[in-house]
Amino acid sequence: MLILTPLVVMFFLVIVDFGLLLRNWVMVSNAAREGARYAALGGNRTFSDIATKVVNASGGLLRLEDVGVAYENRPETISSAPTDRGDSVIVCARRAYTFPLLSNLFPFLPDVMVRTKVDMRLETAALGSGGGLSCS
Amino acid sequence: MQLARRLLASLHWDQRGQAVMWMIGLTVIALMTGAIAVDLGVWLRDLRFAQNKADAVVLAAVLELPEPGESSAIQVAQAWFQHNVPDNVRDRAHLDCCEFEDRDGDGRSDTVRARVSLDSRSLFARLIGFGDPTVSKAAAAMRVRARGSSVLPWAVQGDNDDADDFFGLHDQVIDGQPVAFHSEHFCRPRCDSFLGPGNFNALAVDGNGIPPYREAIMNEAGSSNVILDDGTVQVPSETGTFGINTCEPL
Repeated sequence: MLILTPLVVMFFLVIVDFGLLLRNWVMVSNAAREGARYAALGGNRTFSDIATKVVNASGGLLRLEDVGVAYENRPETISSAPTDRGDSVIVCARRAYTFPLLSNLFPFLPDVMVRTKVDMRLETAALGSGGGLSCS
Repeated sequence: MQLARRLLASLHWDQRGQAVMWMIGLTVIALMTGAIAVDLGVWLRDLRFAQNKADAVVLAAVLELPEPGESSAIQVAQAWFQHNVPDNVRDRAHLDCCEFEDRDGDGRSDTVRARVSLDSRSLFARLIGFGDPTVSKAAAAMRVRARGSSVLPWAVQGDNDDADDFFGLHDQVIDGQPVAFHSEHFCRPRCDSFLGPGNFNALAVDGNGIPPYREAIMNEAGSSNVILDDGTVQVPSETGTFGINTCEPL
């Protein structure tokens, strides 16, 4: 029992930490999707507007510096400008996840980088420009 | 005393096998619980992944509808699927593209549906021999044709700013009747001069929301005879930005 109890406790800590990691991944992923959808509507949405949208959608998990926005020219469009209707707006986000429970027991445990990238098609030409993290 | 100790020791010795069995059983249960928890987490994550990709694909493809058409939409859908799926999962992700539908009945497709599937990784399902499950999510997008009407601004240059004098526009006659002008139709707050009656305040309904604007449109503010159907008014044209208040272009 003396051997088993710590193992079981440890096991449940791993499960809880893993669950929290996945929860973070889903939230970051969903926030990036929200931002990309917002950006895909085009118009005069600036990088700051889009990044704020992502941060708000993440429930406080992300900060402005964790977000990147980029525009990319696609062959489906005629113009060479990367912000025309039909081009891509790419919103990426990343967040270093520290295991909140296990890192107390094992301080050497490395952080896990939660990354996501969403590429949506611009519905109207965008007047803003990209910024923040590099999404490549 | 020694006898009691010997008895206790022998009892412990007899229970050693039980403890081992308990330990093995609990370990198996704990491992299975952990595997199920991990599988569920990965499964939920993959569902979110598939939904995001499906959304991006159909929203990109629907821009091709109704023209240039379905083949172009399929190409775009496949292109955006490739743009959105990272290299490390490309061999596990699949796009089932696309179904089209004509929902507004104009004979052309306006709705696109697609499904993204992902071969998920699993621990528990593999352990019990089910293998890796496949998660899939569908999305649909429709291009709605907008129908609307506009109130275009027009104006008549008045000769003076005297409402009692009908702004010097006595000569304006429609269907044999002199045009009756009403001061509320003038753009007093914003315009520099009187430009005569018109509907240039009408578009400000969505701007300042001043009641006379709306009433003027609805013909409820004594604005009869402003203009009749098929009537023609000669006005100087001016170009401006189509904004919330037509005083600006005027």
